[in-house]
Amino acid sequence: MWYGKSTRRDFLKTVGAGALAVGAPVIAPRFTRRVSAQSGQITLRILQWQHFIPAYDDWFDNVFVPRWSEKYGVRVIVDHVGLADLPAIAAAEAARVAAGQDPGHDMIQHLSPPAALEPQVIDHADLIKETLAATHPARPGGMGNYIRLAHLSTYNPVTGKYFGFSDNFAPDPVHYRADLWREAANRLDTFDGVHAEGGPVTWHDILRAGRVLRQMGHPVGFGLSQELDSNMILRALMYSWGTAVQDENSNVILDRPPYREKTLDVLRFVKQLYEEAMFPGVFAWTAASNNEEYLAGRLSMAANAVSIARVTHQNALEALRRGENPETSPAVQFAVNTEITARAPAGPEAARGLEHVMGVYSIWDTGNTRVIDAAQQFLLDLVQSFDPDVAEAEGWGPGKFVASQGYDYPTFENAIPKAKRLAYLRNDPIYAPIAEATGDRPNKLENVEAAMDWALHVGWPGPANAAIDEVFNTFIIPVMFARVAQGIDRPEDALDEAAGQIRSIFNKWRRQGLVGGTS
Amino acid sequence: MVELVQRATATIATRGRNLLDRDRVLGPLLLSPAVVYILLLVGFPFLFAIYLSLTDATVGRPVGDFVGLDNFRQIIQTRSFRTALKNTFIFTFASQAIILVLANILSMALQRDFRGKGLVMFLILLPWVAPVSLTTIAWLWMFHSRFSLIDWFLNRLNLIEGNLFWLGRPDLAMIAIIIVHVWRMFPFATVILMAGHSALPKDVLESAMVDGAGFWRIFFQIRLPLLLPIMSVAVLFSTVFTFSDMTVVYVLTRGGPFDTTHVLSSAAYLRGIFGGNLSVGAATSLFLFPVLLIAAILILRIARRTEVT
Repeated sequence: MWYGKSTRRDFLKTVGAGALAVGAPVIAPRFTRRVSAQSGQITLRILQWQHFIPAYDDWFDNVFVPRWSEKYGVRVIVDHVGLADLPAIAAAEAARVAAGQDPGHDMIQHLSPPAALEPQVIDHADLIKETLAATHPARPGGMGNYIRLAHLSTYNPVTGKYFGFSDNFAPDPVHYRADLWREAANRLDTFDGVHAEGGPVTWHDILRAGRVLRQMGHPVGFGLSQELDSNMILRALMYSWGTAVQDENSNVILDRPPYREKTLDVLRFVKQLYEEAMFPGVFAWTAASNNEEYLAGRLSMAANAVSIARVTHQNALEALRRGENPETSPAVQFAVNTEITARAPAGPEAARGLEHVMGVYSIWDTGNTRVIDAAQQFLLDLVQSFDPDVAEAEGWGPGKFVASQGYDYPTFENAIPKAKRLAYLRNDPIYAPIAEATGDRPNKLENVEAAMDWALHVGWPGPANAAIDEVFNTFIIPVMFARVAQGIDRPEDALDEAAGQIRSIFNKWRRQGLVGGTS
Repeated sequence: MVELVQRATATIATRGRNLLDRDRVLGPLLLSPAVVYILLLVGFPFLFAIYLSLTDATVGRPVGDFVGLDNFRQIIQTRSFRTALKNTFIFTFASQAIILVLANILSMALQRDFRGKGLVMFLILLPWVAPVSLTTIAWLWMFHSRFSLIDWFLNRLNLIEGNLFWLGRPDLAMIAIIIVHVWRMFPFATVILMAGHSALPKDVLESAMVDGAGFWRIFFQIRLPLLLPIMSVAVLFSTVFTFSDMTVVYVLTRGGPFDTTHVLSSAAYLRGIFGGNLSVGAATSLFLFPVLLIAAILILRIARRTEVT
């Protein structure tokens, strides 16, 4: 591998050399096509997950990467692994970077903020600035803001360093079966405040309807297990009850007044929700389980990225292709009856939800400036590719947003402007044939757009720091909730045990100078 | 000149041969690859784990500051560690007890020749030779909260209604883990015990039968005492494998439900790698060492005794 001392500017100069000669498209960049003779000098190795929308990986691997590679003359190798394997691989690579060895990849896309790896990654501040300043003739206007959700997920206020670059987040809406919800509403005489149409608005709606739904054989399904989805939805509940793990300044608050009572209250609520509306399987779930259980027809409700809805759409499209009658086809009707809520369900304080996954790339600080520059250029262009018009102009069509079928939401607010997002969601090309065949509305997933307002990050209201990362990855919050739900611990005991562990974790990272706060 | 060179070469070769004839030289020479291997792949990581456990190293900063025994003090106070420690012993001893019974039954049954014995042997050995992660994934589906084959079977027999949620209840999750450990380890014990059974002196067994001893008397008073040394080897090896294994727990339950099925190795992995807290992970894993050391000493003693007798 080449380890040179040249600067990013050198890289850009080099790659720009052949642009005019080969008739590069109109993209603005200072980065243009690299002469082919120089091809193969740089290899960029990327590790990322197997996307829950397989079509995204098809586009990424077979369109964006090869065309970007051709444009810049940089060889790109992409390895995909399951999301659960990312932290272990990242840890191993960080150790190699610390030892001055080749990490194996040059950058990794994490699905939660990798704050603990901060000492071994570059500061991504310049890249974020450059991305904010990026323009393109096919997308009038700038990139807009690097949204707060992304900023707090990638910036360490203690060190002043951006330890990651978030290109996207996935909203985590509640999916529900509209047919079952309607039936439950009609069965329930005392369904006061709960509307048969539009799905749940508050967590108490979910509890009230959930009792009936479980009697109908379709419990609600929110994980209480050591996995991603449980980690997310249980934090959403905490936030909606007005409590959190830490405050804005990284002080641990979940067991401190006035938050202690709120935490105890939400623990009691989840216990009640489990006992009256859920089932024991939720304690054993993996990250795929709520998808499986929902799609198998058991669940009436689950919180997840739009991948659940998209699978129902794919199944319905296959049924239509097989010639099934849309009015009677179970697969088609399942898709028609799968809805997402307009907003995150509200708790006593607010309607707060989370991102489902936070796409954060981090580039290893190997000292190999040419590769680091190539990695930064790659990420800048990946964000540019969000916009379908930019993507088409550059030969990267249909672009990141469309390829992910609306799963990847931009963290640079106008990477794909709101109007274009809505245009896609209102005439959703995936759902359109189903809508046409059934007379259903085509904007099935338009509600997901509201996530730009309600989605919060792990660590809210403070930054996603290294302590939050460890608390998240060791599942302390799901364990706390699960022990109470199962009746093994009193809420007070579970809270004290969890708070003790969390405080110990925060203190350790504070001693290392990576986390703020004092208590 | 040429003759001189040939003579010198011959002298060196003779000296070399003489040198290799000496036990003092040949022994260490033959052992040295194994010693180097152990030092590099066992000794160094072990010493590094001790170093990490005494520091505040993290995945982002693998060279930490010295903190003494703080990590050990901290983990002993956590409930999840105490549960993991207890589970490590429960899983190991419960599965060994079952393995011992099953392996004895099977090894005795396989003493007789029958048609298809080779195929049966192959099938029995399959769990032992197949990659543990793959086979555990198959078990994951067997215990799935909705699609469990075991539940389907029990439903068909009208023994249960619906699902048992094997991995969602602490007691059932622990049973599930023990089942998988037994399933994958008992072929190994069976093979060892088969060798033991076939090596038993026939005249002793025949004399006992002639004297009117029944099956159980022969088994408990003759077979078992004679098999004890080789059975100990099987048990100890199996204990070491089970005690230090994390794959079954990691794939099947990831320590859940709510940290009730963690063992030391899976807890160490969760804290050290997933949590990024290398030092605490290393300290957790070091609690395996005393037990494994005792097991290793016992294995060596038994091996030596078996060798002498």
